[in-house]
Amino acid sequence: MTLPKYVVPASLTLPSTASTTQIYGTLRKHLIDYVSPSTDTLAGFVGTRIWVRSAPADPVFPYLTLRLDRTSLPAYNGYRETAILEVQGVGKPDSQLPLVESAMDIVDQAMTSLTDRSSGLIVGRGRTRQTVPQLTDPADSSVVAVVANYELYLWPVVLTSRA
Amino acid sequence: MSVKVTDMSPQFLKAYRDASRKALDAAANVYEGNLKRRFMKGYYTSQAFRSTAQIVQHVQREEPVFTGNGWSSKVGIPDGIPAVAKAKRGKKTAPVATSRTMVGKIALAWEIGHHNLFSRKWERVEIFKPVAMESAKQMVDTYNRVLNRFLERGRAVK
Repeated sequence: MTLPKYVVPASLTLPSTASTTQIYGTLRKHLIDYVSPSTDTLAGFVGTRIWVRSAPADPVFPYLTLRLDRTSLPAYNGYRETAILEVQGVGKPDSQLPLVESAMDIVDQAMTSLTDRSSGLIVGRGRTRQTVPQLTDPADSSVVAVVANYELYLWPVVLTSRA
Repeated sequence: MSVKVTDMSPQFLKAYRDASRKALDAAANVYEGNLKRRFMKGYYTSQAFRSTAQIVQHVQREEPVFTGNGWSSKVGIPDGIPAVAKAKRGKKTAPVATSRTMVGKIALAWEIGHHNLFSRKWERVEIFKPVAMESAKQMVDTYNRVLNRFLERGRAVK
């Protein structure tokens, strides 16, 4: 059996917070649909190459990866989550760095203005962002990357609708 | 006759600042210890990548520094430590430090992920962040305990 490595377009009901896969899909769709004030979209930079966890083998550059770390506390009966969404923009060769930085600017705008109450609630406001310094062996030094972490608050259906 | 009423806040603030420095250093020490213990359980991908075995040797805790946001301490690998290359099989030359590859950057590459030249795959093994998250409560408890001890006993002012 092949496990789903990333969200296949049009395979899920979105937006939804009814499952973790759908939360990923919702965030991915939000990024793809976002149009900046200067009418830029991520499609112009990475197409639909936004993967969950890591890109497939032999990827086309540049691309983005998403990964969630989620925590729910007893104070909210486990309903409310604080999540850190890590977004990595990865390019190759290093001449793609401006492309990656620009793509991450759009991700910054999209994620820090996120309020989606169509299924449960997802709110994003704060973030940290760093350009990864040039790495050496064993890493491919011609790969450039920007890593950003977005703090999200969720009231996901998957946690708030229990039997 | 008069009674002098004095504000002791300068002494308190100094005591608090000294105590919080010790408390932060103790909390950072907890993280440093947990990090080293984690590395002792095994290196990245079972030592398939030998250079990663050098990381634990260089994990260290820096002295706390006072910033605009209070005390701050770094636990990790300082910049500028070159990795030591193993001698090739069959040769009796001593291991040599390579200035091109830094131990800190090897750790960074594994922590955030990288396209690996040798395996030709995306490789990522997070250690620093998960250990930090697992250690958070223990660090807070340690911080509070040390802070209270030094404030209560007035030992912070030295």
